[in-house]
Amino acid sequence: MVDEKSPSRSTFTIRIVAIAFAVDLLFTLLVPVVYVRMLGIAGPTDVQLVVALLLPLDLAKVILLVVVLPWMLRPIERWHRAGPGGDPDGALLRRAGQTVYRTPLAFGAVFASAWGLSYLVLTVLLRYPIPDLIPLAPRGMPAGALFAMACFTAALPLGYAMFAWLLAPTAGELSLVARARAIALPGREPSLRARLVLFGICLTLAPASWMASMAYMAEVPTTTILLSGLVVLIWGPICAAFIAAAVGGPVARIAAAVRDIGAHGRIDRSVARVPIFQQDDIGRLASGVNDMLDRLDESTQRVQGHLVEQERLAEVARRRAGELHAVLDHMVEGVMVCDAAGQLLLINRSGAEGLGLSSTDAVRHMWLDLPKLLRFRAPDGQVIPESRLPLPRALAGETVVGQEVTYYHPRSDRDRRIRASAAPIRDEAGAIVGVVQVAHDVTELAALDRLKDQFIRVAAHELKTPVTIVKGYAQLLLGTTVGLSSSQRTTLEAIGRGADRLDALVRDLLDVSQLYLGRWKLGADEIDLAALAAAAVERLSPSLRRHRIRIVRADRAIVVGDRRRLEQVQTHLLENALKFSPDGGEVEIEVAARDGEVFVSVVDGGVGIARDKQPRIFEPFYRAHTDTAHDHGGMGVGLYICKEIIEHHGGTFWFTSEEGQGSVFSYSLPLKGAAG
Amino acid sequence: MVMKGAKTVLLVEDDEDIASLVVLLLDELGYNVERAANGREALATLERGLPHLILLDMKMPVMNGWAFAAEFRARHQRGAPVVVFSAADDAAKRAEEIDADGWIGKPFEFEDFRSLIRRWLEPRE
Repeated sequence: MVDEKSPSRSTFTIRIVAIAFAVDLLFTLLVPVVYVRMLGIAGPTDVQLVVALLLPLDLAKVILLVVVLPWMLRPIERWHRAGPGGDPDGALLRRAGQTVYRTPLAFGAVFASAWGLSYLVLTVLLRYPIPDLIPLAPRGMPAGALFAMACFTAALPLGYAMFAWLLAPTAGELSLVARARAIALPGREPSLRARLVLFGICLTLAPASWMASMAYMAEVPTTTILLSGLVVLIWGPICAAFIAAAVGGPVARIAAAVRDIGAHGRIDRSVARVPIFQQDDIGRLASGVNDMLDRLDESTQRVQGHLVEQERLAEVARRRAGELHAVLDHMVEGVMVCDAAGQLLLINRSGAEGLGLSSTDAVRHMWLDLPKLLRFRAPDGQVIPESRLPLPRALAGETVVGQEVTYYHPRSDRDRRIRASAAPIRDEAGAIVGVVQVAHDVTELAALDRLKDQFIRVAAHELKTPVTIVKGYAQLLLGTTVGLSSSQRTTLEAIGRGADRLDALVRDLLDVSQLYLGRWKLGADEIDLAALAAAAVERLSPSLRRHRIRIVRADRAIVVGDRRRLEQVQTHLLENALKFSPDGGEVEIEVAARDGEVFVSVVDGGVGIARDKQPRIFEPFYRAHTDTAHDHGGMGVGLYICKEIIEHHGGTFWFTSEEGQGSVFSYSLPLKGAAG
Repeated sequence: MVMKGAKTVLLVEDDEDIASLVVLLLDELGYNVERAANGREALATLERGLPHLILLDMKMPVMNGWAFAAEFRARHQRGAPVVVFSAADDAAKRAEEIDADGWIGKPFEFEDFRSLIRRWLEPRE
């Protein structure tokens, strides 16, 4: 690969040497003519001598160009040959950089010195070592010195600028590679100012000393003056062109780059960096522009990165919102969200459908008319004032749980019932910023409840007729005093008790059903609970064998309530106490009035209730003694009904129990006339 | 079985067995009983003269208790006390609904039944 590239690479050196040689040759041919004619050397022998003397000097100059210059440019060649991968640590690049930036001035100086010295040496040789050979004019010596100086000062800017121009592409390339690899190239050149001063001095001094040497020699022929003027005329533009290219070129490149930035309107990798042709002020300007481009590029990328990130976040947010919407739309529950002003922000599909409207927009459109349109009612049919609907309640700061609302559903032209929960949404400061409501359609549940209730009512009613017949005829037969054996009597009594139990079960079932529906209507009789307890004891006592019921305290306690229901409680508690004291013993009743309340307790010393079963004791259809020796049958609704009865009277119902020790069931009711 | 001078009870009840039971009980108490299996029969019976008491079941075929009560009030106003004779949990409510004078629930204790009937037919002066 290296070999393959080397021919093309060496054209670089050959090109430089060739151009330098060509330029040099022009003057190498012209200048000696002027020199010879200026000094008035005319004889063919003398001219031959001068030419003979000049030849080795020129040869030295040629060697300088053809051998020393390529030798100086070797690091660049080496870097070229190494290729992109052949310079891992950048050493070749650094050396090439040093070369490319130092060569113009260094070789320019050598080149100028070669010219100057050639003619100085020639003049000295003509004057001293072989003085008799040519009768050098008396002023020949100073004139020759002036001529040599002219050559030096002319060659210096020419060589410097020419090599700067010739090496500029390479310098630019190197600088860009070094920049890309973040390598600082060594070499610091004279400032632009110093260079301009140098050029200025040289450009003045060269023609001045050139013409001075002519003027110093008397009687220089006009043709010689004209010829020397011609040389100056050739030299001037060539020199100026090189200087212009060496100094103006880089500036033009910077200007172009800056114009590019303006034209692009943005900075990224597509905007090329400015090559650094010389490491002077212009080079530093270019470097500064490059740095600026880099910074701008970085910040552009940062901005773009931010934009990309922002777009990504927006996308994530969009996706989340989409997911949320998908989840919400597939929920069975209707979800709606309002702002603090009560305006709808969001409603899911179930919510819109639940309101009988096709879309969120439709709901939003109808929002304010909904109460009028849908006629929100409580399950009992009472119209709910707008402020008592779940959303306004939540807006007022309330957390609504399971409010049942019935409303007209326009699409199906039927009533629907929802169970709605709503809660305020608060900001960090606790201010209400909105409300979220979740509504569950319970229309079918309510219908099922109604059906169940209807079933229970019909079944219960139909059961009552056969119960009445069984009970009635058993009683009738028992009433006939003659012709009944004792076993027949026992049988009839058992039939009667069975009918009573059936009746009690039916009544319990109806009670539970009515309780679930919240349809209890309680009477408002004035009842003395002490008397009520006494009556219950009196009713039960005759049938007791192993038990005794004792009233340990009986304060007069008048309460307002439903007599039949309170009797039911008292009877049930006593029956329970007897039932769960299988070994007999005493059951105590206490009726104590104090602080506007009456406390009634029924205490037994029976089997009690296991601790783990106590929390469930008031659940309907829960039977603590199922499948135990104390399972006496029943539906397990007695205590549930008792508790509900007491609570419907504004009282409290509770118990304490210890397994194997017995139980105490208690309730309290507000006394008549007591506040609250 | 119709006793002269004894008070008459009109029993409006569609269930044969219950009706027979009630007839036996009222007989035992010494009252005359007229029976009707539904409201329409009862109204026809009333055309022959008003009883001292009407024991009225509510759920009956042909003409139920509600319809009968409305028709009775229209024709005879408070010509005889009406006592609703219905399943226990309903009875009081039904009585209220048709503005009856009292109610007896089913099933019933004989003692309660007897005292209630006596209370309606032999009010203390």
